[in-house]
Amino acid sequence: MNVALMNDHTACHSCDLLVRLPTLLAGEKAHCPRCGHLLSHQIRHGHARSLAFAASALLFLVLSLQFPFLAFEAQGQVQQMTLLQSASALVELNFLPLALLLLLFILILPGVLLFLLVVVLVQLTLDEHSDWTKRFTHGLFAIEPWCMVEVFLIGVLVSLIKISAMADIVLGLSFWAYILFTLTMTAALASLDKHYLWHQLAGGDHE
Amino acid sequence: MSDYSSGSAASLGLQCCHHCGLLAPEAQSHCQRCHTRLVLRKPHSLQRTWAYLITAILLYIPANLQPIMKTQLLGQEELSTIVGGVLLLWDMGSYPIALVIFIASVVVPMGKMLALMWLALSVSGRHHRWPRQRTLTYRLTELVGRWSMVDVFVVAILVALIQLGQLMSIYPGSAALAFAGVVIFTMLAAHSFDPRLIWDKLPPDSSQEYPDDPT
Repeated sequence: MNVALMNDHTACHSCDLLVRLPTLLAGEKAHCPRCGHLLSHQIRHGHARSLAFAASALLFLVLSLQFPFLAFEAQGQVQQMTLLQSASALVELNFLPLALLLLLFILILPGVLLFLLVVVLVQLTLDEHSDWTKRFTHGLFAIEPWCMVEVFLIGVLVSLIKISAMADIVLGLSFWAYILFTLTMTAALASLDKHYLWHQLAGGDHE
Repeated sequence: MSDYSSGSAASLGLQCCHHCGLLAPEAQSHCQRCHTRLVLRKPHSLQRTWAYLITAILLYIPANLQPIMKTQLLGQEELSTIVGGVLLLWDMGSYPIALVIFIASVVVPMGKMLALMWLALSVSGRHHRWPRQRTLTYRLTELVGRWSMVDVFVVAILVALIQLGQLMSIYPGSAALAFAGVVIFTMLAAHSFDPRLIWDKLPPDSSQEYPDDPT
């Protein structure tokens, strides 16, 4: 196989068809002609946008830990919870594994992913990427399926409706911060194209 | 005769890095660009898929039979299962929420496990039809997997929020952990399955409907 073919072709991850990826314009998507899998999509200023959203998402994540998340009032008694208390309550009731999974899926892994994403995109923007940048990129794509931020948000909404009949609910500052965190994190990931990112990362050390 | 479908990278002696998408000759062990270990197909894909899938199916039994939540209201205790919770919401008249929980906790995990079983059986047998639809099914199972976690999160939030002693308290049930296990193991099963196996076994004539040299 000649080298030229190997550099401008790729294989579809879904069906292994050998395809030559055309140069995409902003807003264009490339799908596999055989199975329809999305190969690459080009977003105008995708990386800058992703970096901006990821940095704001990190900020909102930190904010969402600081304040009351929800408070609930029934027959004169008030109970308040922060985001971290959702996990510590489970620990107190001897449900440690469940508490760990909760923390991992809604706070730790999303936090690590955003941190890696910011580092990778900053290094790429400054053109100072190294082997570590590639390792970080591996890491962030490996973590991605295990981030359940938006699933948790739906869970919060469902719980609210479940208990709104029996008590008054007060939405705390952290609740709004978590919504913004979910939105910005989703936007950061949606602006990211794996193929293009690797292409850029290869640019530096290719002869 | 090649073991791989015509037009595939593997049939031309090439493998594709599953991380960065760079092509490499079959003999190469590591990706030049990102140093990932290269494999032509996910190793032991079917065995792993089945192992995770069977674990998930086994966990699904206690997840449905055991209570997911224990509600204590004025000294009275009430246990609720996943399906029980859906029925309760339906009776209360919260139809949209009942539907969300029903889809996330019953339809999605069941559908996912059935879909993965169908996919795994279809690539080990002589099933050549609907490769595109099967690939789409696979991508859907990968996409919706996380959403089943909703019910577990609901339990976690209610438990943290409603702790008023004898007046009203909510405790998690053992099904919550079992159900989290179902979600995790179906996700691992989907992750281990290699959709390229669907296309590898296709006889040459069925690949002809698709362009061999896409540009």
